[in-house]
Amino acid sequence: MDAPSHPPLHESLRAEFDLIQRKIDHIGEFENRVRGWSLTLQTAIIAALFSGKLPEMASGYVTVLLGLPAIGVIFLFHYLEQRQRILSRALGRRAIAIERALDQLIVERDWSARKRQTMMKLAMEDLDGTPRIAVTMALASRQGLFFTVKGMLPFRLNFFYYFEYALTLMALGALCFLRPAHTPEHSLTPAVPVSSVYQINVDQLHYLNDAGHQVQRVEKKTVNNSNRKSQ
Amino acid sequence: MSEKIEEVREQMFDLVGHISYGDFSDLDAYWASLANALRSLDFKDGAEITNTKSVARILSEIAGMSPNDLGDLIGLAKDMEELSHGRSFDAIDEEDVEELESLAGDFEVAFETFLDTVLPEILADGN
Repeated sequence: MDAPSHPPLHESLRAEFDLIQRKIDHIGEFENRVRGWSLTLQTAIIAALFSGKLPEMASGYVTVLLGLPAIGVIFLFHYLEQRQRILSRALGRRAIAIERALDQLIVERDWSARKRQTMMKLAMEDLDGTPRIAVTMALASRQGLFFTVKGMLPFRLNFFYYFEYALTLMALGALCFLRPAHTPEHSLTPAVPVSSVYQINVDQLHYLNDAGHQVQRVEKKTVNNSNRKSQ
Repeated sequence: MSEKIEEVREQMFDLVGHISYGDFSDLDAYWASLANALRSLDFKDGAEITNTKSVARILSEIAGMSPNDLGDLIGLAKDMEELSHGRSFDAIDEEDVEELESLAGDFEVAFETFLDTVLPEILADGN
């Protein structure tokens, strides 16, 4: 009985290379999608914080506390992308090993016999058989939390998320320092200088005494008086 | 001894090969393998080569036993180690990659000369 025939090594390598290429493309698309989700959610959270629709009791500092989960959400997206990046990098290294082996198998180079022999041996050692997509991905998935977070630190690779963190922190800082503390509806604090209020009240009384129940006109007059004073 | 020299050569090709194929994922490990292969050479009159020394330093010590000038090789090794040390595939700059690839080509030629001509003389002197 004849032994089963296998495709030549370079054909198997090409098939694996194509598969890896498609996987890397999909991971790239997924990374872009994650960034889109992150940006959309962050925009929504910041818009909500600035919309004034938060509970009225939210002072500046309470607003910041409410906004902190936004940072957590960005971190989760960042972490998710980093996990995908680890997979992508492992597959990238596998692609390099395949390219190197294909190069040795297919391309004729003006190398000494010794170098050719050594390079072929090294390429095959690097390749470590084919196919190995599942093994490569399984090994990459074993990377733990510390390794993943460490990869999230270099600025040049993570500037998108650093930008998002900075933007959110700036928005929260702006809310903390610029948003006035809550003023109860019936606060005793006057909205206009005391002297004006006194003046207006006197006018009101005088007007009410003269005109009786014409409250609407009184309010109008109060506003006019206030404006004139401030000018 | 020739087996050990071939091991050194293989580790050099491994380092240079990975650089020329654009694989900078673990260059420190390839440098360490090359350094270990050099350490395995038995220099009878040679200085002590400790585990903490870089390839450039080891080559300097070897060159110290020989009248041949290995300045280029040591300089290339130093430059390559500085460019690649502690850098992963993602952390290395594009211009550094090009420079590293260029240095790797020169390093290979200089190292082959070292292995084929200089090293046998050193070993003969040592013996």
